[in-house]
Amino acid sequence: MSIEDEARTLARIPMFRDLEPSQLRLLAFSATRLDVAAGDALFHQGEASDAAYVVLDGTAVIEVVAGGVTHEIARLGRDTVVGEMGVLTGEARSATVRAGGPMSVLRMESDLFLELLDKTPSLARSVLRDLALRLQETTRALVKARG
Amino acid sequence: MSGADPPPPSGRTDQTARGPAPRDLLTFLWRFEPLAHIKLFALVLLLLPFNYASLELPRLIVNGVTDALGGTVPRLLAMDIALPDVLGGAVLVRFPGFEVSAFGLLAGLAAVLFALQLIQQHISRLIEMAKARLGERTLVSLRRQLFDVIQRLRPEAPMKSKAMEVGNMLRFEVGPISPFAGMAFAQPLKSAGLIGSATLLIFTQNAALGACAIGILALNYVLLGVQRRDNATKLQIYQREAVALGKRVMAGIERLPLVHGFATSPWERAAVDARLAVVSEANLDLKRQNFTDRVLNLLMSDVPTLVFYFVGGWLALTGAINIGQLVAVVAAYAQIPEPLKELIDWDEKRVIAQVRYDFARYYLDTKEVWPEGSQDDQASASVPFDGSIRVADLGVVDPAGSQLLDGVSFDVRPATAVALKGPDAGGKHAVARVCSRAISLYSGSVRLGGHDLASVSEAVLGRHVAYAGGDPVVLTGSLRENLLCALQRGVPATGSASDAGEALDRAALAALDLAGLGDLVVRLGLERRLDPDASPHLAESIVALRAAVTDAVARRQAETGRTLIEPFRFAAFNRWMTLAENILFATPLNDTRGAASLLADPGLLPQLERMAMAQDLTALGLSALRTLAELAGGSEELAGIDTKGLLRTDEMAAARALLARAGGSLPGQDRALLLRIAGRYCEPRHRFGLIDAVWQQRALEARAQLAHLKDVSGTPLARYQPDSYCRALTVRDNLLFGRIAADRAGAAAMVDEVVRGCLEQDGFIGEVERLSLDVALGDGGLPLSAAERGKLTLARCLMADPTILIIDDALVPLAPADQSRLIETVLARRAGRTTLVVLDAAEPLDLFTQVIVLEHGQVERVETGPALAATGS
Repeated sequence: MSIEDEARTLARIPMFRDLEPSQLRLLAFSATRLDVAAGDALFHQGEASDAAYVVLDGTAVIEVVAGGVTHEIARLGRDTVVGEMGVLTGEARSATVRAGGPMSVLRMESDLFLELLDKTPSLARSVLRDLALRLQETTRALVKARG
Repeated sequence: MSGADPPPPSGRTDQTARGPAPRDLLTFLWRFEPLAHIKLFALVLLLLPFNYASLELPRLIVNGVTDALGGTVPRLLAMDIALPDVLGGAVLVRFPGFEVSAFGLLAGLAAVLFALQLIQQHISRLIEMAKARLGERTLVSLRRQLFDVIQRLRPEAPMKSKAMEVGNMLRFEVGPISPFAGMAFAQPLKSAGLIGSATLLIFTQNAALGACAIGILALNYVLLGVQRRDNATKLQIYQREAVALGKRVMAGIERLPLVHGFATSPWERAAVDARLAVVSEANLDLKRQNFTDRVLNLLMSDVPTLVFYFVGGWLALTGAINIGQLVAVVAAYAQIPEPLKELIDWDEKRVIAQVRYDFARYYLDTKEVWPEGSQDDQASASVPFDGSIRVADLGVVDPAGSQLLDGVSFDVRPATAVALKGPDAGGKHAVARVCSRAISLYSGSVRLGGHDLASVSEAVLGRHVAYAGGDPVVLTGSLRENLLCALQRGVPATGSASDAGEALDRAALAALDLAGLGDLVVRLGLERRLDPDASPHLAESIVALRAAVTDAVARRQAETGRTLIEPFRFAAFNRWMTLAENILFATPLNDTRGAASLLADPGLLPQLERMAMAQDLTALGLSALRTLAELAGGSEELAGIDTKGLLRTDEMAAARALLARAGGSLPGQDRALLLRIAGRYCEPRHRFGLIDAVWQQRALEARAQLAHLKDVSGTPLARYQPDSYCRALTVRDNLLFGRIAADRAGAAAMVDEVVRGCLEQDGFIGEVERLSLDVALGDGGLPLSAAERGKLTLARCLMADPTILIIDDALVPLAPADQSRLIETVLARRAGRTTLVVLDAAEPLDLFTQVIVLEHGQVERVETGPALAATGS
């Protein structure tokens, strides 16, 4: 897959939809393409947050260890972003991310991701919108759980 | 709050006990070595009689010859020692001399004059050497004292900026004191003695002329005093401004990263320009005065001389003095200007040295220093130190007046692990900093290892207590130097046995491993390029290990079903090699520009042209460059993006110019640039889609045709051969004889794990790890992450193997899980010694025998580790 293909994939991701095609191509070029074998971890809960990942192909499984037990909390398909929360907050990884099957990702080093946010207000807005939506979902889930 | 200002350790004196340096430089210099000055006096006094005698001789020569011509029998060395005419002229001693011929008289007196000159020269040389030695001794002593101040600065000084100021003083400012120190007392005595002996001789010849000479000297003295009255003040102004300029420049260096970050360079330049102008004006002011001095000096030396000669000539004509006396008087008077000039010179140097000394004295009298002798390492090794910590009623106030600690008391038994816990501003960090002397002003009592922290010497404390704080120090030097600096106690030994070096390296590697840098060490070792001539055994072993490593990697690939490496095979294109490497299947030796630089070389290009590759490679390079420019948003923006090694910084301008030229034939330099870009291209890394199966095949065909090449235009090629060590490749590449498939997640870590296992099995891991110790850190060296810097700080402390280890916020950059793991490992290894850990987010409380929780600067509670963990606090 060339950076042209990767840029097209990035264009489908809501977080990056406001970026110009040239910005998407530069983002793809600056990132590193990785193939992840099924079951391998992209990162582990508690590790330092050093990069964000775009799932180009395959499925990412999100797991959280609580009380010594591993819980699968979500599965994310292609055209999604994982690990960006830790990069934004600077906190350690709050979950482990594994490949549900053979998976291809673009790895964006935290410096690259943050620099891109600084330079691209539209991306910053997209990230903010994305985070707000997740917060909304979490709040709804919490309300629902409390009955 | 009253700071615990430590009294001097027994048997030592401190700066204040010795008393401040005297205000006057002459007093300081006299007290420094009075005997040396007295010795110089003796030499000067020894010189004067010979000087007087040499002034007498011209008269004797002239009068002797005149008398011989008049018929008198010449007598060699006939002389009277008599009082001057004004005192009655009574003869004190009369030496009749030796009867000789006129020629004998001339020859004899000339020989005597020559001998007198030789003796004077010899004594003068002795004086000069003694002056120089004394000057150097004084300077060395002063510089030692200043360095001593740097070494003893307390953290509240403030340590760094003050050390920089004193360092500048030491290096540059005190220099002019040296030439003056030797001449401080001897020079005025010598000059005055020479002037005095000349004046005395003139007096003995004629009282009127003597009075005339004294009058001229008195006039000189008065005029010099008047014209030089402002010199000291102007020099002080110049010195003050020069020092201020130095400080401003140093401050600018300190804030360089901010200058670049916030684009404040114009502000910096303007600030320094303003200082430069002031210093320049002060210097000119000084020079203007000096110029006036010189004009006046000229007038004072020439006009009175004419008067003197006129009076002398008139006296000779009237018969008041004879020709011999006239010659002697003129010769004696001619001697006066030189010592007079030396006296002026002495005074100028005195003023300069006094100003410099005033600055030095300001720093020497620094009060914020530890007592003298507190750093002497003698006998500190034998001082008992048990590893206990006893804190009683500890109080600390920060410079802003906030109470950091108030009445903190706790005990730590020897050989236990204790945690300090609580909010960041609760006091846990302040306690750790007090215990490590990063804070030295406190109230209450702190006892470490049975010693009062206020009075224990730094030598004892440094040997037994190590502190891993959050302000990591990374020295510009090798990784080895960054570790071994923790053990550089006492005086360095000359020459080091290789066994001792190996043992230290092993200790350093063990400390790095324990601090969690084991993987980094292996990685750095594997990424080194080994010189097989320097380490033939290791190079041979690596080649011998190659089969075992590739087998192990192949097994791991089979087990996991993943591709981890792409081996170097002559008959196969390697995706992870650059295009140039693929064509040459070699890398130039001793040339850091890599294989790509050879494609445009006149020694290779004709062969590429014969294979019809040169033009296509150029086109590929141009395509890659255009893609880069598009990605950057235009050729002008090329420097703003990471080109992933396709373009070097020094090629940016040429690349922009090339893209600006539309079409047409390419000049030679453009073609060379495009060939280099093509040579650096690596498809999985750059992903422009430029290398297809056809290109791969063409590269392999070219490789086959170029297989005979040993060098390109004299640059030897290091070929990739399965049975020999390739010195242009890293140790890892040599072991794998291939490249890691970097697009496979976790491949690098997995391969390194396999390689490490093979090296451990064959006992070579230590040798490869040792290679990492030569990696340069600091400015221009390997950049370390915040977590790695923190681990390096901890490794340095572990290297010192202290009785008490204090881990403060060195590990804060680590993820909590990593912090916990590391603390657990360190505590397990340090069983039997005291470890005080300031806990951040990590909470492996069950590892500690005691947990002290601090809040609002006070001990909130003290509990055992497991008990506290059970409460969930």
